[in-house]
Amino acid sequence: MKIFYSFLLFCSFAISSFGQNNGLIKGRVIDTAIKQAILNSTVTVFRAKDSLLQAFSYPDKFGAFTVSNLPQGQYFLMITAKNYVDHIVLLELNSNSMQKDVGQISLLLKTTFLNEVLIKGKVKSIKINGDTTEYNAKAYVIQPNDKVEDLLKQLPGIQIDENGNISANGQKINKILVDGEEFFGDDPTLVTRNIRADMVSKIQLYDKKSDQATFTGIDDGSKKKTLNVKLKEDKKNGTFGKVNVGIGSHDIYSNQGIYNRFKSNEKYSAYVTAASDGKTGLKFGDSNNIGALGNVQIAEDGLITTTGDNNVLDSFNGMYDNRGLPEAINGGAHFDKKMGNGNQTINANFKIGSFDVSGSTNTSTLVTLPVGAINGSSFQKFSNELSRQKLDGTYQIKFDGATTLKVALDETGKSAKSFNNYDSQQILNGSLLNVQRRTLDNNSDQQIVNFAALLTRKFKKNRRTLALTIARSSNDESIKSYLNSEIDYYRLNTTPDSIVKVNQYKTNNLYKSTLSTNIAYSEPITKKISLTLNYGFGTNNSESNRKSFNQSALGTYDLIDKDFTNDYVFKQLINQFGAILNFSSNNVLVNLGNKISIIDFNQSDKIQNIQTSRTFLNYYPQANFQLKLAQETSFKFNYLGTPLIPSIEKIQPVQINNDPLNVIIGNPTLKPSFTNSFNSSFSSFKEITEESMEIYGSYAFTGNDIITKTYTDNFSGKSITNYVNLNENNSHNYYINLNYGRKLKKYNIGVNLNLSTSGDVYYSYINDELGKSKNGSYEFSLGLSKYLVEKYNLSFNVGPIYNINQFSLQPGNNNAWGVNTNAAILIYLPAKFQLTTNFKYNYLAKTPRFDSQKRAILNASFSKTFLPTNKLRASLLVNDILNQYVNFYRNISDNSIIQSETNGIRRYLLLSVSYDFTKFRSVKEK
Amino acid sequence: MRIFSIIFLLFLCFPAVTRSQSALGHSGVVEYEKKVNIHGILKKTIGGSQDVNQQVYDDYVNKNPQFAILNSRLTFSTDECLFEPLTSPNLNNSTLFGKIPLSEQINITYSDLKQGLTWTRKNAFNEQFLIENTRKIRWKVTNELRDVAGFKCRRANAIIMDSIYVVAFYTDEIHVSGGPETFGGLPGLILEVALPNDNIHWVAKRVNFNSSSHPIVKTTQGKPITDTDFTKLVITRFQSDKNRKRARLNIINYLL
Repeated sequence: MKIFYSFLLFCSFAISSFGQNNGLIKGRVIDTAIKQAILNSTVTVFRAKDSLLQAFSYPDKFGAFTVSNLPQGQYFLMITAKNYVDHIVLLELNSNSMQKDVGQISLLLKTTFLNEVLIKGKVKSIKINGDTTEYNAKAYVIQPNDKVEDLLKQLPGIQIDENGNISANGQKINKILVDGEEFFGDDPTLVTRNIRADMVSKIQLYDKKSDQATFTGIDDGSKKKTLNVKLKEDKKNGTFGKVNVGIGSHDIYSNQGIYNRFKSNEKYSAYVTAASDGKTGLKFGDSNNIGALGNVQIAEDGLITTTGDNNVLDSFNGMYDNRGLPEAINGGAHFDKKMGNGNQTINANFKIGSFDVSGSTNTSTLVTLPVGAINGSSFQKFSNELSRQKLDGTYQIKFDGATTLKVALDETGKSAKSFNNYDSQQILNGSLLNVQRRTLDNNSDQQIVNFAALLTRKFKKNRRTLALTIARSSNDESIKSYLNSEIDYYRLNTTPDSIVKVNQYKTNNLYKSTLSTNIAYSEPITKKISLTLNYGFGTNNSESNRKSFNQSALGTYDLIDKDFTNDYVFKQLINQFGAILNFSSNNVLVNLGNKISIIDFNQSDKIQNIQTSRTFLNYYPQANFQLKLAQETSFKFNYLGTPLIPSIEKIQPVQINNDPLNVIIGNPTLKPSFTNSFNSSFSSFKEITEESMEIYGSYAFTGNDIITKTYTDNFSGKSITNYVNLNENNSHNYYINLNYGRKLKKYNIGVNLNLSTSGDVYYSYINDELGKSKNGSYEFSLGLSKYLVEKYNLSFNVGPIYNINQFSLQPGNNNAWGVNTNAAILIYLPAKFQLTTNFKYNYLAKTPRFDSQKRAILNASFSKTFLPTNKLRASLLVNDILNQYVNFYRNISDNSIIQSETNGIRRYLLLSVSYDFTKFRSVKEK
Repeated sequence: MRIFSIIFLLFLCFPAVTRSQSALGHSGVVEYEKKVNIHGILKKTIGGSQDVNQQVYDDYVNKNPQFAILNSRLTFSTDECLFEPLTSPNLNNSTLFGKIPLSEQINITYSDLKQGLTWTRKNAFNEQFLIENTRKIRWKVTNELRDVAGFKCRRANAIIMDSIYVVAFYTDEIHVSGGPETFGGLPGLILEVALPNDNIHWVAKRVNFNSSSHPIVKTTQGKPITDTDFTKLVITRFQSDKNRKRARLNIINYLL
C-alpha cells in the first residue's frame, strides 16, 4: 500500500517531466473514391512497442491533421472514420527525422471494401509471445477439405515427413493438443490428418514443461515441443469426419473411418483404420516415458533406468521405420468434457490395435583389426507382431480460484511376438572365421500402469504457491523365447574346428515399480524475485529374473543353464532437494538453481545371495534466461547439468547369449557421467514485411562419459563389449539451425531458407585402442512455395549437404557432398479433376569407402471430386513410380563399416474412394 | 431537360453526402448509468468476524438490492462538455458506519475541449473543492470493438493510481475527449468504463444530439486546490485506516 501512495504523489509530477518532445506527424485524410476530405475522422497515435496511447488529433474540414509534441520512437498511426475501414501506418521518429509528413491517406468505404477487396484483408500471420509462436490460420491458404497437416506444411520452419512426423526448426514435435487438450495422446496424425484446416483459428508452438514446472517455475528439464491447435469458435459445434476405402495392387489396402462430434464443451471422436500402405495407424510406440503420462508429467531425474539398452531382439517395440511390409488394424475413441464453468475437465482416450511387419535385411560389415579386415555378411528374416490396448484418463478440478487437483491414470496391455531367422558368416583375409545360423522366437506380454496426481495451490499472497505431486507406476513384462543357434568356428581352417550349439528355452520376467513424490513451495522475496524450494522422495524397486533351459534327452526344456540364469532384485531410494531463484520482470525472466539427489542403490543376487550397495550423489544445476527484446522478438538461453547414472544393464554383469557372437558384459564399477548442455534460441517476426527468423543452437559436453570397450577376437570373430568411463576426454556435440522465412508479396511466393549444422565427437575403445570419431553435417535448403485456392499448391525444396565422417583409427576420411531435393505439386484441373505429385531425390557422393548413393522416389495421384460440395472423392495413386525404394542404411564407426538393406513398400497402385462429412451448427460469435 | 435534372440531382446529392457524414453534429447529451455492486463493496469494507459488523452487513444485504444504480449526464458541444450527477431518489447508500464508498457521485467535471483543460468540483469531506485536472491516464488502445448505445466503441485499458485496472470503451464518432466522472484523454467520448476489480461500471444508456436544453456552465465554485495537494489530503486522511480494503475504496472514491 505504501508504494501505492507514493506512486500517486509521484504520478502528478511525472507528466511534466517528459523531456524534449518535438516530434511531429502531419498528413491529410481523404476518401479513396471521391478524393475528398473525410469529415469526422480521427487520428490516433500509439506507441508501437506497447500500444500506449500517445496522442490524437481530429483532422479539420480539409482532412488535414498535425500531431505534435511526440518523443522519438516507433508509432502506429491509426486513422478511423465512421463507415470507413481502419487504416494503420507504422512510422518512426528518430533524431534524423523528427517530422514526418505521411501525405494523403486514403480511406476506403467499408461497403467498397466488402465488395472488392475482402480477400486482400491483411492478417498478421505470426505472433511471438515469450516462448510461444502463434500462427494465424487465416494468413495461409486452405484448400477445400484440407486437413491440419496441409496447413502446417505452409508454416515457416515446420517440416512434415511422409509418416506425418513433425519437426519445428529441426526439433521433433512430441505432442499435439487440440484447444489445449490431449487428443488421442501419442499419435499426432489423429490430429493432423483428421481435423479440418478450415476449423483452425490458430496454431501455437511452444515448449511444454511438465505441469509442476509450469506451475512452480522449477525447470525439471522435461520439455516437449508442443503444437496446440486452436479451433474457431464457430467450429466447436458440429460433426465431421471421413470415410476412406482403398484397394491396391501388391496386397496394399488402406481403409479408414473417423468420426468426430464436437460441442462447445465436449469432444467425442472415434476412428478405425486397417491399412497396409505404411502411412496410417502406425504410431504404436509409446513416446511417453515412464512417469510421463497423459497430461501430468513428472520429472524422473534420479532414477536408474532398467530399460536403457535392451537388446533389440528382446522384444519388438512397435515402431515402423519403413523397414519391411507392415499391416495394421487400429481403433480408438476419445472423449473430453468441461463441466461447471470449466472448473472440471475430463479427458479419456482408448486405443486398441494390432500391427504386423515382416521383411528381410541384408547386412555386410567390414571390421578392421591390426591383423587384417574381417568381412561379415548376414541375412536376416523377421516377422513381428504387436497388439496393444491402452486406456488413459485425466481429471482436473479447480476447487476455487486457488486450488487445483489433477489426477491421471493409464493402463496399457501389450503382447508381442517376434520371429527372427539369422544367417551370417565372417571372413578374415579370405579365410572363414565362423558361420552362424540362428533363430530367435520371442513372445512377450507387458502390463503398464501409471498413476499420477498433482495438487497445486496459490496463496493469498501473490506468487506464494505450493505444489504436491505423487506418481506411481508399475511395469510388468514377461518374455518367453526359444533360441536355437549353431556356430561353426573355422578359425581360418577349411573345416570347422569346433561347433557350438545352443538350443534353449528362456524366460525373462521383469517387474518394476516406482513411486515418486515431490513437494515444491515458492515464496516471493521481492516484487520480482521469488524462491522455490523442493523436496522429493522416491523409490524404485525392480526385479529381473532370467532363466535359460537346455533340452533334456526327452526333448523337453528342463535342464537349467546356470550361466545364463539369474535373479536380481534392485532397490533404489531417492531423496532430492532443490532450490531455485526466479527473477521475472516484464521483459526478462531468469531462474537459477540446483538440485541434489541422493540415491541409495541396493542390489541383491538372489541365486548367489550376494548383496551390494552403492550411493550416488548427483547434482542438477540449471540456469534459464529469457528476454523479450521487442513485441515479436524473443531470446532464450538455457543451461542444464545432468548426471547420467548408468542403466542396470551397464552395471550388471548379467550375461545374455541371444547373440552369441556379440556378448555384452556390464561393469559394476561404472560412475555416473555428467552432461552440461547449453541451448539458446532467438525468434523474431517482422509484421510489415512478414519476415520470420528463428535461430536455435545447442551445445553439450559430457565428462566421465560411459563408452563401449569392444574386443574382437581375431580368429573366432567373436566380440565382447564392456562399458567404461572415459576420463581423458569429453564427448561433445552441437547443433545449430537457422530458419528464415518471408513472403514475396508481389509474386505471392513464400520463401524459406534453412541452414543447419550439427556435429559430434565421441570415443570408444577398440581392442584396447582409444578411437575418436567425428561426425557432422552442413545442410542448406531453399524452399519456395506458392498456394492459390482451388488452383494449385506448389512447393519446392532444394539444397546441398556436406557430411563429415572421420575416425582416428582409420586413415583418410569419409566426407561427402550430397543434394536433397523434393517437390510437391497439387493442381486443380477442369471438371473437378486434381493431380498431385511428389518427387524426392537424394544423392550422396562417392567416398573412399562408400559408393555414391542415389534415390529418386516419385509418387503421383489423380483424383476427381464429386457432389456440389466436393466431399466425395475418387482417386488413383501410384506409389514409387520408379520402383526404387529400398531402405538403405550405412554406418561407419571407428573400426567397422556396416551397410544394410531392408525391403520396404515399393511401387503399387491404389484406387480409393473417400467421403468427407461436415456439419457445423453456427454459433454467434460474441 | 433530362440531363439537366440529372445534373441538378447530382448537385443535390453531393452536399447531402457530405452532410450525412457530418450529421453527428458535436453537441448533445449522454445519459450514463453507474452500477455499483454495493454488496460486494460492503463485504470488503465491513467484513470481519465481529458480530456488529456481520449484523450491519446482513441487515443491509437483506433490505437492499445488490446493485446500486446512479444516473448522471454529460452535456457536450463542439468546444466544451460538462459531466454532472443526477439525483437517485430510492438509493440507500449508508449504514451504521456511514456512506458506503463509491456509492455516491461527488464530481461535477467541466472540460474546455479546445484547450484540453478540465476542472472538477468535488464534494468531499463536507467541503467543495475546485481542482484543475493534471493527472493523465496512460491508455493502451486495443483492437477490441464493441457496440455501446449504438456507437462503435474501441476498447482501451489503463492502470490508474498504480493498481486500479480500468477498461474503457470510447467512440471516435463523437469528438469529445471526455467521459463519466474524470475519465478522459481518449480520442473520443467514453461511453462505457469499468473498474473490474472494484465493483463499479458506467455505461451510456442514451445519446441525444442537438438537445440544447441543458446549458454548459463552467464550474467556478469551490476551494481551489491543486491535484497534488488534494491527493495528499485524501491519502493522509485514510492512511491510518486499519481496514486496508476500505481505505483503498475510499481513496478511489475521492480520487476518481
